[in-house]
Amino acid sequence: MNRRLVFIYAFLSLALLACACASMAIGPYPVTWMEILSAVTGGTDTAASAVVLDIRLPRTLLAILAGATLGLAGAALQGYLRNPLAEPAVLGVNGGAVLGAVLALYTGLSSTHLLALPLGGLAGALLSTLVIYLLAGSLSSVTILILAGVAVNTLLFALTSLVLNLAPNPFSVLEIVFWQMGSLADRSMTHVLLAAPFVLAGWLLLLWDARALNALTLGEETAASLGISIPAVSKRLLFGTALSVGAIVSVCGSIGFVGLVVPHMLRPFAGHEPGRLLPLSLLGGAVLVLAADIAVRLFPLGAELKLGVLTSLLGAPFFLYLLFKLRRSTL
Amino acid sequence: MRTVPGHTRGMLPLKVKMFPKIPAAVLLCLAVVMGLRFSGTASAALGFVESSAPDPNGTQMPITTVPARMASLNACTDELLLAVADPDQIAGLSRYPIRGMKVIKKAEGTIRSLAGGAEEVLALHPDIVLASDFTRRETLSLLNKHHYRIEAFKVPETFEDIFRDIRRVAALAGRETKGEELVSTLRERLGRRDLSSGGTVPAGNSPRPRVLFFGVAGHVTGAGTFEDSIISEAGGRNLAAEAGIRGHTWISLEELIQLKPDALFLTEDSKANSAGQFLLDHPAIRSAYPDMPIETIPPHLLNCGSPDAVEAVEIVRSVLRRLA
Repeated sequence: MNRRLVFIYAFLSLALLACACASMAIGPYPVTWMEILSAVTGGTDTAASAVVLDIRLPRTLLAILAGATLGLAGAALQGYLRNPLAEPAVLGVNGGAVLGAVLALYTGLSSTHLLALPLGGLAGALLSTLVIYLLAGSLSSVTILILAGVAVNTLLFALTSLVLNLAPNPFSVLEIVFWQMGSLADRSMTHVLLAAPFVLAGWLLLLWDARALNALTLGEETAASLGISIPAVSKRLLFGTALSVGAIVSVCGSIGFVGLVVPHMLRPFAGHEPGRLLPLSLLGGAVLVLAADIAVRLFPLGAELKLGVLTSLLGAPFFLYLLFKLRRSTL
Repeated sequence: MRTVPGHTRGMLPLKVKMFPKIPAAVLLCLAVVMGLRFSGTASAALGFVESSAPDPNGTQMPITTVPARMASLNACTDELLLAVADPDQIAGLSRYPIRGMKVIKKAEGTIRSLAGGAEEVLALHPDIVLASDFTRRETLSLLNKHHYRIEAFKVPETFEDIFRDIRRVAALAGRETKGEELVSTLRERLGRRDLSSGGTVPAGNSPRPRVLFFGVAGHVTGAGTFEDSIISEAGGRNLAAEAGIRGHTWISLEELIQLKPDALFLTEDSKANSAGQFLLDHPAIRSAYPDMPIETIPPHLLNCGSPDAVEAVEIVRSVLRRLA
């Protein structure tokens, strides 16, 4: 078991490195490896180094941050709720973050206060997690949780569309696709710097309770008898999710299904210990989103495919497969 | 005659307050007026036609025909209408006024704004409905069924198209002189004093600069677009068209840097708030080409191919002059 874990860590780390290099090299502007190297070390060729440093580097960093966040948050929510269908997007966290970010952006608040954008996303995510927290805390029924997620998601999407419809800019409505499907195309370092502090703080809170999540697999009462404060764990978890997912969604839009798929793919390697799954999902999510973002760039289409389109195309069948397996096991 | 229903509506509350039994009479009057609406001769005989209106030169000039009341369902036909028609002729304008239009600001208080539904138009009873090729088919077929005269306008591709549209709206509004005046002013500003020639501005000895229009979310305009005509009128070459782009498309920042324009024009005010807007302020553009002039063209100059588009030519031309 331990060897498998070492193997998967080594594999994911190498994959991340390879994907990061590929992400720096792939794009419509022809850049040689030498140019990338000279740009990273402070070269002078302005056009090539601008492409590498100002376009591809922030994109790569954001892909890693976004994927890691979604993978980690998915693993943490699945572990805490002991529910294989839990995921930030399914539970409405993404939708809340989108609404918050859209409000901050289209009211013009974010142009006067730069931090309004991630804070808006964070507040939206926090609000929707609060709803989930209240539902999960008092009901802890999978069906009700998922149904509430559907309802909350629909409501949030409607509110987002409403805000975009009311925005004074007639092109705003077209941007629903961006917010629903997410994209990393042509972000700048500003976006990375806006999101990173919140994301890292969120990760810290999510990784904090790895042991508590392991104990929770034995049931809440046993976990409590082991000296774990369930309310404190849930607060850290939901606040961590809101912080990291809220910040990511407010700069990249909502990238679906990553949080659902990644923990499931890696669970066998973690020996079904949710605590161990956390860092693994963090790494795996980063690899998945980075790879998906490279694939999006290679798609032979006129305009670039949105990242969330690809992750959802892969994630939705996986979700259905999961439901199918779940049904078989309950029969 | 066209002003009568408005009068009746305006006086209604007062009359109702003073004489409680009047509403029935008012309703009767309304019915009579409605009946008359369909017979132009009757209304003329009743003397509802304006006897005179100021002409463009300020002198009083008798008008022989009833000025048509017109409604516009599209922001672009709004501009044409406002440019040539008399404010009294305008029954309604679309809900999305082109930002920055002074005329619209002036007219805002008095003119109804329309969301684009057929019902609103039916309620206004205009003589002519101006629409674009993009107006909902369902709305137009409904209006057609009710025998409204619909005038649909294509999105202009050249300044000749704009002049044609101006003349067309002017003719519909019965203000041909106003239309001709506007066209000749615009021609003059474009630097085309010879009214018969339709050619482009002669290029100088040096190769013409390569110009790119870049908008929200990476929107670029290739051959066959109105922006293409603006660039050639200003004496530049449309880089997007030369890259093989026809019509409208979206490109990434990397592709923009690859195209290497001599001058870049941002076609949306980067102060407006939207997610696609940040692209225009992206640091990569500046750091890739520090010497490239970047100028913003206000969106209302481009969105329609309206008379204001001449101003866009002047902006591009002034930047290209600095380049030379």
